Order: sequence, then structure tokens, then C-alpha cells
Amino acid sequence: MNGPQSHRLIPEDLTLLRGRLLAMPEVFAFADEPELAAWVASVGLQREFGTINDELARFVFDPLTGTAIPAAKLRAELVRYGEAVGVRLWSKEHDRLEIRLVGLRALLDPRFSFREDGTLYQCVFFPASLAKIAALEDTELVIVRDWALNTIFGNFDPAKSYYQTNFWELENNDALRFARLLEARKLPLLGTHDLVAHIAGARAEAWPDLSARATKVRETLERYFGTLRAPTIASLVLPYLIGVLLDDLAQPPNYGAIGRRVVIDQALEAVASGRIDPRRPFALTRFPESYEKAVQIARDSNLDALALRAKTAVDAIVAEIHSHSIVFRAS
Amino acid sequence: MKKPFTPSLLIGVNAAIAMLSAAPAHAIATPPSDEAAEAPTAFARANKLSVASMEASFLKVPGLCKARNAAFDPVRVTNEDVSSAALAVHAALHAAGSAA
Repeated sequence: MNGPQSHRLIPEDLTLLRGRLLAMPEVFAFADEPELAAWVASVGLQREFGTINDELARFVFDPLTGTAIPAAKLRAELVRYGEAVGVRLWSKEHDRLEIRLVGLRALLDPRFSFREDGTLYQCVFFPASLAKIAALEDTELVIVRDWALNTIFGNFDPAKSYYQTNFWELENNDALRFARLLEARKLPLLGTHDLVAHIAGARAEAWPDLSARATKVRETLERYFGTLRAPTIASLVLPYLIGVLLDDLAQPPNYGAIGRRVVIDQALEAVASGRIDPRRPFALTRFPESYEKAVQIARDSNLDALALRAKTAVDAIVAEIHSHSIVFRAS
Repeated sequence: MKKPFTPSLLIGVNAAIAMLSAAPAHAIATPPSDEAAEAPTAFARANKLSVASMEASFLKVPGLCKARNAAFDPVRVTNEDVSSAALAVHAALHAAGSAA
């Protein structure tokens, strides 16, 4: 066989895939269901490549001009090679590409991505290989069923950003779900964010600290929410902030970042203090503006008075939640 | 779970906020309970909406991971080594593909 062959899914194929996914547990590993996991991940990557949701595009450069290639110029398709399924990304207007992302080279299929002279002309990924390469760094790649159903098999529109899903992530307390994954040294592979931000350059040495921090987050959030099935949105804001920063910490260039750790700790303290009671029937009328400030502080390279600034920002979020909330009575 | 945003929903939300705004958060000591926190308001129930779905229609929530790019910038990568173990993984896929 010469090389990967283009493969097109028809709507019935997607329906079948979705049906198989529905029958799966909430989280399953590539190692356990390699074929289904590879299909889900490939479809997820292929659908995002070249759209405004493509996180890889920012790292794809024209080596001749040194400028980033606009996502709109990138094309993607599913490919088959033997039994393997994968995805191919290329530019119609560039016969050479340069990827400015540490760790991605190991994930690119070397035979089908590079010419003999070593130049990169397209990016071919096989998720089955990505899972095995991640495993070399003590990382288990998984499919999170509900995330796949909500994005890949949801009402996906390549012209729209994922902005619409943010409330879904907040409402579903995805920070807790993500903490559980990290605690078990698992990373999802559902799209370009996972590939670019987490899997490329992942290193086993990061896991002891990351996993321990995830355990602390998981324990704090589980104590906070207890058996509550549908916490108020107001009570999910700080966990959401924690989730964002935990996501940052699980990105190789940010492993161990002090700013994120300090803001997470402050937010965890505020959660544990119970200053926002998740059982109190609040309706939040406005998302706290201080949220962005807290994220900014966490990502700032200036570490001066970090703990104080982090505490001030987290306190401001709590204050805003109280001032922007209204209480309703159960009727 | 998610309701599409529509002008009529906005009107409903505004009406709901007006109804709910009768008391500020700090003014009512509602006994906390799981049931109370999950109970819909009369308005929401009448309109088959949960409080969360109303909040979903007007809260602008910044991205957790999806709407936000990886929190780092592109860097030039030169002569990056790929481990022999990773190359072996790729080679195994090629061998299986060639045999198919």
C-alpha cells in the first residue's frame, strides 16, 4: 500500500459512530477501544482543522515568509491506511509547512508528513499512534463520551466558535470531570485543543505534581457539592476558574507555573470556605468581570505580591457573585 | 439541555429577572436544601425552563478551554529529536498498513 487513502464519511456512518459512542462508559481509553476511539478522535480533529476552532493553525507557519498560515487556507480530510484511521492537514497554497510547537514532531507520522529531504509538506496524524506515544510518557489518552457527544456529534458548525459550549462546560461542572481525569493521568483526545495544548510535548515527569493537584481539586469540589445534583450556576463560577487554570497547568509549556498554582489555591480556599453556598437558590444575572482579572494574574509573568493579588481577585469574584445574584424561593 | 437564544426568550428572561429581583441575595434567608436549590421558579416551570437555562441565555461565559487557545505562543523549533520509541510506534503502524 502506497500511502494513506482519502476517506469520506457519509451521514449514516456518523450516526453509527454516535450510536456506538452512546453505548460506551463515560470515559474509555484508546487502549480499551482502539478502533472506536481512533474514529472519534479523527473526526474531531478533521472537523476542527481549518476552522476558527482550529488550535493548531496558530502554530502552522509558511517557512518562506515566516508568517502564520491563515486557518482558512488549511484543508483537512480523514485518511485510512490499512486498518488505521487518521487525519491529513495541508495547505493548498504552500508546499512546505513549518510547525512552531514543541513536541508536535513526534506525533506527526514521519513517512507521510515529511519529504525525503526532511521538509514538512503536510501533517498526518493517526490517533492510535498518538495514544501509544503518549503512553511512553505515562499518559493515557481517553475519549470522554459526553464531551464527544456535545462537540463532535453535537450540532457542530465549523463557522461558529465554541463560545456556545462554555455555558455547557460551566453548568456541567467540567472542572471536576477534568480533575478526575488528571488525577488518573488521563488526557482526552477529541480535537485540536487536546492535541496542541496537552498531548504535544507531554512529559511523564509532570504527572506527580499535576496528579496531586488534581486530587486536591477533586476532593475540595466533591466536599463542596456533596450529593447536590444540580448546583447553582453562581456556585460553579469558582470551580470553572479552577478548571481553566488546571487546564493551563496541564499544558507542557505551563507545567508547574507558579501563577496558576497560587490562584488555584486561593480559589480552592474560597470554595472550601463555603462563602457561596451551592444549595442556596441563587440566579446569577451577570458573569463576574473579576474572573478575567484572576485569569490574567494567574498567567502574568510578574510574580510580585502574587498571593495578595490572587486573593484580592478571588475575593472580588465572590463579591460580584453576591452582588449579581438574586435569590428565588422554591414554589 | 441548551435552549437556543431567541428574542422571545430574552423577554421571558427579563420578566423572570424582574420577578426574581424582588429580593436581593442577602435579604432572604431561604433554608438551604438540595431540593430548594434545584427547584425551578414558578415562572420557569410555567415556561418549561430551568433557572440554569435562563441564565444560559444571558450569561456570557469566557472559555474554559475550547474558546481559548493554548495558553502559550508559537516558538521556532529546530532539530527536535524524536525518540526511538516514538519512531517505533509509527513504524509499527506502517508495517501493519503495508501488510493490509
